[in-house]
Amino acid sequence: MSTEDEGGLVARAKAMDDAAWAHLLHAYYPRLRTYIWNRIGDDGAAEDLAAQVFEEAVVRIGDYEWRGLPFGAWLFRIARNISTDFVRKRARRTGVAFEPAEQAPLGRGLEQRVETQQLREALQQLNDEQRQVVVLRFMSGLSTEEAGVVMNKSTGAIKAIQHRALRAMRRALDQIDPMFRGG
Amino acid sequence: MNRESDRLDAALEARTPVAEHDARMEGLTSIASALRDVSATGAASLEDGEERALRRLRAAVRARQAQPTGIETHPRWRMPRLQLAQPAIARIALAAAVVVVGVAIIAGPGNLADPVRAAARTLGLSSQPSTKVEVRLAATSADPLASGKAKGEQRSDRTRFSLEVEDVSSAGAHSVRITRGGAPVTDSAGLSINVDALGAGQLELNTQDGATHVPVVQAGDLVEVLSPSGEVILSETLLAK
Repeated sequence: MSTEDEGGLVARAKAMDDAAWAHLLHAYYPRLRTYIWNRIGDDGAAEDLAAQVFEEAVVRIGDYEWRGLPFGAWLFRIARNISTDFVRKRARRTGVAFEPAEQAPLGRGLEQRVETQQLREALQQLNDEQRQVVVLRFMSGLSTEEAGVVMNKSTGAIKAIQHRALRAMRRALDQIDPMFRGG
Repeated sequence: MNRESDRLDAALEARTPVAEHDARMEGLTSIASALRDVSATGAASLEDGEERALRRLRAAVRARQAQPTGIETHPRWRMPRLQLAQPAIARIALAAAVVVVGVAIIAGPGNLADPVRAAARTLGLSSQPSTKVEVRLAATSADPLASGKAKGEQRSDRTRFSLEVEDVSSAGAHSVRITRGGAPVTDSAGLSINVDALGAGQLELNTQDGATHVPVVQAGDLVEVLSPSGEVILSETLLAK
């Protein structure tokens, strides 16, 4: 979706156009849910929170203005806040901040499933900030600039966190499976 | 380090290995490629969730369409609903209400206009006259998703000031500025709130708890929260409660 198309959709969404909202949900829901899942490690809650992002966006859309904040990055900021709230409440209740998933989503074949599981394990060894950058950049497809907007950090800081995160993942993968190649 | 991360980032944007001879960096780009594949493989299992999210979204849009323009609802500060799953709280609230109304009736018809104070006086409890102010703070463009609430109270036996913030994007100590007509309010100098890594912070000052410098606020005072870099992120004028 081009920026121009998205601008039109957002204008229609502000006017509470049902079809425009459906289009925006279709465009962003999978990536938002992936991002949330990787922060909280709970599939059912991730589905619920990703839906909440859009409910919150419907309420707040009147406050949204372009001003250098792309709509996708705005949605991811809402997702970040909602998932942070969730993690905070769960930590108060149970003392657990991140809950590793019981099983990884199914891949196309056994080899890929094993690789997926290894990547998930390596991802879970990162700190929250590193994990967020990796997920935003490579699994949610945001640019370094957009990831910077979501996390309120400079592009340079995002690049540095990303670099450290990938190195940490490489080290973790070497321990999990020295033969891991990826790609 | 910066040059290396710039090179890596350029390669990741272009989705190409950094250099054939640089196996270590190439290893990092291969992890990024693998992560992209992982996110693609989960797509089919997302469809049901997307359908459910769409139903919820449509309900939210319909609710918004039906709402008269100009009336804002904000989920963050919604009053908690009393639910049947909390019978103990319901019973305590009911018992308190019965006591208040009963004592007010015993105290005489002249006191029916203010049953809580009448009940407190009849039961021998102090009922200090108090002045209360509060406001929900508005986020500025420096941190548009931040939110917060400030409250103040003066009574003859105590002064209280509390501040809560949520969804603040920067952690650490944040200055709190309280001014009246541009001048700092008494005992507000050097005030700060600590924001945790999850973006939340709480400040509670009460002279009854031993706090010696509690700002004495009143309606019309401006409360501002500043980021560590000095930008105002939350701001609003206190209102009488």
